[in-house]
Amino acid sequence: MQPFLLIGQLLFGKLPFCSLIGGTVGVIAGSFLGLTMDAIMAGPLSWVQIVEIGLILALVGWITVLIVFGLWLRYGLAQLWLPAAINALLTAILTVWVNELVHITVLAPIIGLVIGLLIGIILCWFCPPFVRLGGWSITHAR
Amino acid sequence: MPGNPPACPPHPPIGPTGDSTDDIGKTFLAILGVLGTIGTVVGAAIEGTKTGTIAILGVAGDGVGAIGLSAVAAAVAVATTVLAFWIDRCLSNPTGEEACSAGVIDTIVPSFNDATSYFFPFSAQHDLVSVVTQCQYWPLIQQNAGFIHVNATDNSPAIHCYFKSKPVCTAAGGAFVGAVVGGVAGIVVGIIAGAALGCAASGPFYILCLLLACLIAALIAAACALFGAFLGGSIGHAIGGSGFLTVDSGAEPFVGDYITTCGNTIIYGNDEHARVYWFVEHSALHGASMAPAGQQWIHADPDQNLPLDTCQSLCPGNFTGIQDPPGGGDGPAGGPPR
Repeated sequence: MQPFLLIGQLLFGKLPFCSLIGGTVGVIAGSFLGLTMDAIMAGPLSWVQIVEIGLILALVGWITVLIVFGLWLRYGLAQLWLPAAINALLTAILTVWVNELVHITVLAPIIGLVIGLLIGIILCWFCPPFVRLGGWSITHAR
Repeated sequence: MPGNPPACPPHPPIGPTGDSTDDIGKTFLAILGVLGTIGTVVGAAIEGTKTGTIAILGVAGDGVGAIGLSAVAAAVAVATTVLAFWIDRCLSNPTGEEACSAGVIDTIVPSFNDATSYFFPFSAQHDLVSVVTQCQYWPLIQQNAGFIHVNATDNSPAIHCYFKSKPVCTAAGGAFVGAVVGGVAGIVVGIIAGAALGCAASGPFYILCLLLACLIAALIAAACALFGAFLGGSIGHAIGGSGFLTVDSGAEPFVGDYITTCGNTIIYGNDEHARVYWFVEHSALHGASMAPAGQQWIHADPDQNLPLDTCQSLCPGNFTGIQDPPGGGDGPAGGPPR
């Protein structure tokens, strides 16, 4: 477990909270897309397909974020669902589009991660600080 | 009787003073990143070397390799995350600084105080007592902290004191065992369910169909792992007993009580990187505050109504305030804690 903790601290230690959400969606989208593209020799995707696949992956990433950050880490569903949905939509669709351009399947999770982190950083400029629940809601953490 | 309170040191900054994002959140992202990368690399290797239709667990068909990898990655991600919670809550035993402080309790959050703790037992947190301290302990709260908790009344700094709860640890351990068992079963069911979609390896919808098959396999595997974690965690919780929060005397603390705590303090990555007690080793109550509404809970209350030397009585070796030690000194030292 220590390697994961170290990787998390080294790579994401100074990033804002929204980046973790974007990164989570991005790595999920990239991983499933990479696995699927590994299995088939897909031709170029149409814009409709990119949006369709992006929407499906955004939904999965969004649900994951709500469970992990909203429930397990006690940030609450009420304040997370909307910013996470916007973050997930942008991240997933962009991840599919960029991976369609690059088409290196083994890099798909990393590409998704980077896109999600960047979108998270940008979106964090527009979001109020997230408040962790649990009886001490006076605290604010980005 | 309490004497004159010492002059307060400078008020610490409020809220985040550095990295305040969640360690488990970062660890979760690292787990996903590593598993996702391994999965796509293995997937590329399998697809690059296969000479026909591959079969996993007796299930053969186009894209079964991707479906199987999705299920495995999802189950492993859940089990590893549950393990991360267990390590954070109970196994890590971080070394910190022995300290002691006193103040008035402004919040108590018992373990298993919400529905999430019952549905996802591994995520339960130990009993938390938030204490608005006497101002002599502000340097302790501020020391290397990435976040300063405060009470909303007048932004008086508070320190979070975690009391180790046996049921939290037994629940987290049980949840991990359950997640592993459930995850293994979930992989099998997930692959069968994903392959049952029967995506044909041609046509414009193949990529969408295969993607859905991978997602179904992963979701089933993750759900089974989580269900196993729920069962195992519930059993562990039951084995751990009730675990009521008490101080050394056996009394139960309440909001508004004056309290002295001592124990190991750390910068806790899952509490905004604030300095917290992890865990309280000794604690004592000193009666209840009579502060009127509107004055709850501010540092001036314990400064004026709680003796300044309660730490010397409870944990003489752990003193971290700034008032004169008995029999020495000329006044408030004002220096940082050791």
